[in-house]
Amino acid sequence: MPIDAALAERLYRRARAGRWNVPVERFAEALERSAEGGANLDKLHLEDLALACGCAAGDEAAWEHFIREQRPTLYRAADALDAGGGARELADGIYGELFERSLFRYFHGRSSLATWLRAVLAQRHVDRLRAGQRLEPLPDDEFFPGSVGPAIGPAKAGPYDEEQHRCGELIREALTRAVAELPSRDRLRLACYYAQELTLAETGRLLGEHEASCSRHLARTRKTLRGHIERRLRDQHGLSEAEIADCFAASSEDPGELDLRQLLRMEPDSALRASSRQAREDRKESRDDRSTVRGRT
Amino acid sequence: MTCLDAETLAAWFDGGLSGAALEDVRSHVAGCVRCQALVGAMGRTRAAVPVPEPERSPRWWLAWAVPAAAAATAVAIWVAVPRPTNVALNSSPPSTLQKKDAQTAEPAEPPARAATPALQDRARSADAAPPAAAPVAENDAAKQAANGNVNESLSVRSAAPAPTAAAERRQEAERQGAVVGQLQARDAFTISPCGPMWPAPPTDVAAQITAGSAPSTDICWIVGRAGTVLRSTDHQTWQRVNIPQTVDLSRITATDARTATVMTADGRTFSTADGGVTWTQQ
Repeated sequence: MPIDAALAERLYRRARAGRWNVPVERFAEALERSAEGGANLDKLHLEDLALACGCAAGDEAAWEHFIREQRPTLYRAADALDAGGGARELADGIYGELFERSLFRYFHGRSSLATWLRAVLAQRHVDRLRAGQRLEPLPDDEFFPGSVGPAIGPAKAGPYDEEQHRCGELIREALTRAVAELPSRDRLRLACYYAQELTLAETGRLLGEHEASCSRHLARTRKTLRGHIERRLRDQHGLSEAEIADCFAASSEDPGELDLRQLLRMEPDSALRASSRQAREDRKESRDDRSTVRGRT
Repeated sequence: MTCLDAETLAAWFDGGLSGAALEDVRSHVAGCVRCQALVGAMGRTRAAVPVPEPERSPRWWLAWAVPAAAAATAVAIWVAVPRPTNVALNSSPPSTLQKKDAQTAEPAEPPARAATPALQDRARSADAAPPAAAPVAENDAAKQAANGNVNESLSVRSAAPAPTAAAERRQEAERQGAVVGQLQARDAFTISPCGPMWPAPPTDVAAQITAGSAPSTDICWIVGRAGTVLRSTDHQTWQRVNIPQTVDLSRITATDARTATVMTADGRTFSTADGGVTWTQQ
């Protein structure tokens, strides 16, 4: 997609690309690549794009500027991802590719250079962890911060544990279904906030809403989920209001396998399949269990 | 849609996506575990980015125009309308105003019980986020507090008898100051924030003044953007007081001509006990 020469010239000046001795033609080529990638030229991070062009062309001043301004970001991001230094080698690898100039080609100016570097690092970190997980399962905490224990824990002994376990199962099944059936926007909001632990402001920014709206939407979604669970326990499993309240109380005391974050990490389809499978198994035992729950309450 | 590449992920985080591309990304990430993990990893690297200095829009001063006009109107109305008695002036003491604002700024009630314990943990922090109006109320409370000592001292003084014509004029000016101080409660001052009996701030900094404090009849400190600190002790001239950092100042509380505490826009406080010769960060 050829860029109009006057427009390229105007953007070149705005980017102050001359500082890095980037020829107008080369900058115009970078703009063309950005436009082909769907970028809005008026919203580009032009100065960063010019710096990337300068570095890619081997301009010493550009490279020095990049090292001074951007390299620390890369290494701070690596330390934030893995305080043990594991992500540092990824950062070294990225830095090496930047030094060889090959990587700059993939920067189109739709974000700042700093954000792009963080994204490149995040991508490699996640892919490495996922690859490692395929070979040998990693402790969940390492991949997902804030995870609470293993997905399936041993059933506890005791007279009331069976009831508690049963309540947990019912709620888990209903919650899995409720989460899977949420509109994708609500599900994304929950995933960003609860599973990935972004801040309200970050979550709101990704969804294009103010953090106060984001907070309200989260509250609404929680209410929806609870309503969905209550309905399912009442209509599908025949529990009374008192039994439902007891179930919630029991699950609050000991959530066991119940963890929204785990559920949000499942693809919606697989969550629904798992929920259906679980429901089938549950139905086999439902009569006995229902009488057990009623007997306790 | 395939999984996000780093460039698209970064563009999403920096608001560089729009339209169908943005919706595609949101829809994909909502159901993709890997991309959600990317989002999480991006969130965890947020500490890598230094917090930028707040950028001032080329037309930042326009934001002042509206409150400045409103303040001017308030003064004009006050001057034009027949003045009530001192009693009426003092009927709404600043402390009452401050209490009201403090109540407004109270945090929201704790959330209703969430669906699961995992939800509850984060729910607390989600619901603790104040609605958009809350910070404004908090700022107003802070501003009232900043004006409070001005209002209080002026209100008390206005109740005292003032037999001479000069004293009457002065008292009148003080009452105006007290009322204007109450009416303004915002960041702009067409007159000195200590009241109309004080000279207008120098023209080169007048538009930058944000707050003032008058610990007594004869002392007024005012602060503003870019480290502006001025003090007047003669009702005629302003002395510039140096502060070691060129930062925007949002509040000042002075106790006399030598002792004052200023608060920067980013929440730090500096105090001086020697008239501004030395400052200590709190």
